[in-house]
Amino acid sequence: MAQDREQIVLDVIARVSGVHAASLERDTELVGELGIDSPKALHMLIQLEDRLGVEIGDDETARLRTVGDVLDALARLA
Amino acid sequence: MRDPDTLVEALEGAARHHPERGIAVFDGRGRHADRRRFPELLAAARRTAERLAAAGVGAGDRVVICLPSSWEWLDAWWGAVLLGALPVGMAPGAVIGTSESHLRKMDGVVEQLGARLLIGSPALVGELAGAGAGAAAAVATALDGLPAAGAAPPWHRPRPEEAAFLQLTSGSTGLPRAVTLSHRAVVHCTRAIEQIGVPPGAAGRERFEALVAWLPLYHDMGLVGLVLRAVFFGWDLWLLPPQAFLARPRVWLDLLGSRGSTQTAAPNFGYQLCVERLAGEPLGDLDLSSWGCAICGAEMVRPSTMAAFVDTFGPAGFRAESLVPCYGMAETVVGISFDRRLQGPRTRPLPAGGGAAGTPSEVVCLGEPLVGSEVQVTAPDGSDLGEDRVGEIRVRGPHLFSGYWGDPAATAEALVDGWLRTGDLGFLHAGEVYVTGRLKELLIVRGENLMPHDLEQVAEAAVGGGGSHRAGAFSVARGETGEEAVLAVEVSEREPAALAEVERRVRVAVGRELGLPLADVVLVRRGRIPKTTSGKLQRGELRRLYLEGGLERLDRAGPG
Repeated sequence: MAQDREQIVLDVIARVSGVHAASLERDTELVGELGIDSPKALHMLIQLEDRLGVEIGDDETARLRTVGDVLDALARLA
Repeated sequence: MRDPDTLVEALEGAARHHPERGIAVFDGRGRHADRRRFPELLAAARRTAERLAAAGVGAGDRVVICLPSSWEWLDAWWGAVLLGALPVGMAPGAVIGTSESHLRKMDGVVEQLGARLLIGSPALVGELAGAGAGAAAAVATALDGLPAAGAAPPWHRPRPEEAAFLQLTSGSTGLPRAVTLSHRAVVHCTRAIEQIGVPPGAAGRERFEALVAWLPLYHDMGLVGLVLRAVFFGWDLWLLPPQAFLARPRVWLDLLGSRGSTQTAAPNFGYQLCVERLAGEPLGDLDLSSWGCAICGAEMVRPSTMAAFVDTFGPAGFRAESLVPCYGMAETVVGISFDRRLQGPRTRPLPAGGGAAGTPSEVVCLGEPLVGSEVQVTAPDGSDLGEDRVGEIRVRGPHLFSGYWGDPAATAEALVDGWLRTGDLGFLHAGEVYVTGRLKELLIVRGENLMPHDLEQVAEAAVGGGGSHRAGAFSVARGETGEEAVLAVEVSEREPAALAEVERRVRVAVGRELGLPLADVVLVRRGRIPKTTSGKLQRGELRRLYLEGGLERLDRAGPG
């Protein structure tokens, strides 16, 4: 994925979870470590869709567990 | 026109008397709606019933429905009802990360109920098959996978006292309990709650035109409070899948402002989410002046949330008097009491001596018991405490459930001399109900009930080393968001780095398996989680110790 798109993804995850984008690792767990519950998860997904102009299917979201999973999913959709 | 005595009569009545009204189901982003009128709903339910019958489903059979909010869900649920089978709604899984433990829970529910079918999405059916030959996989099918209709099935004309459907609720072990509800109880409850948001003496069914919903359909407030009320009273229903609301809460408000005289129901967290996401945003052309009734229930109603909601959306025409706090549970179909005064949320101070640690000092009034029912507050010995004293809330009336499916022991524990022991703590004042806390060990996060056992099992598996009863789960009120989950875990590690690794493992496991973030993980020495002499976990005592700072934490000092 292009660097700027990757930065957008990290920025959105950081804003939704309230942590610094720089502290996010690929294996950081969305729910367990970033506290992203289902309202926050949907907030994150809709912002990613809006900013990157993609649509993330339910089957795709069901597989997301880590920051790396989100980056990979959006790289596939780009 | 005669009032219906059963759900079957209610659906037929809606099709006959309100042929232009119906239900619109939105997609997962809340953009497009597929609207069908009641005659079309009835016809589709009949076609589905024929296919269910061809698959061998008959009267009394349990059919688990594990689908997102959709027309498939409604077709399957009503199709089962028309056959006299018992539909059972079950959560299809978390938004992110479908977990192995959720699939295992489906096995447990299918086994416990002896379910004939589990209807899921093609993806879920595939996942169940991939996860091995469990009980759920053996009976799982997508709606499209049902056989074509054969000969016309024996249409079932239920008697009012027959079971109509089952609702899953939390149990004391790892498995949910299934609440059996008769047509009579459902009809009684639905009629009684017709009056929600209506001044005494007025008729509800003429006052409102439309319901707007985002609650999941497996939730009692979503199913009975919204879908069944729409069918019983011939109102239009605008149904958003929960994820559409969670993604953009504004969609819910836009519908409430644009569909005539509207009402809705949501837990406190839904109103709070609107405030958090939309306060400070331009309201634009949002006009909430025709939103006549905003039911708030399914979890503790917070005065601060109600006030913030009125502050935020008052400028768009929302009125505090539209807020109707209410109280109920699946064992009472959906309702126990609701505020009938239409003066906006009212509070009273907690009666003297009425609260353990963590009890709010101002308690929201949840109104009078439903017409035809009684509420009593009792001491631990079962004696009536009268008014203004805190005790266990008990309910009696025609809207009570018939029992927990296949669990006479749990039923006998809950139903005593015709009274339902709610397991909730509260008091009565001037005949109105106030809930202050819970006796039962249960977590209610965002209006959904969670069993502490589920969290404990995941934590125990994550820390390894064998032995159960090494973890204890409970919830605490944090800020304005409602309850959050806390896990205490007994460990043998002492080194800070090892303790940090244990905490991470617990958080990751609970996040992956249950989709739930933890507000706190408390690591303590072996044997420090309070248990009875027989080894039973004392979660209430654990929570008290935590809140009062009496748990000696290995990871850091003090309670979070």
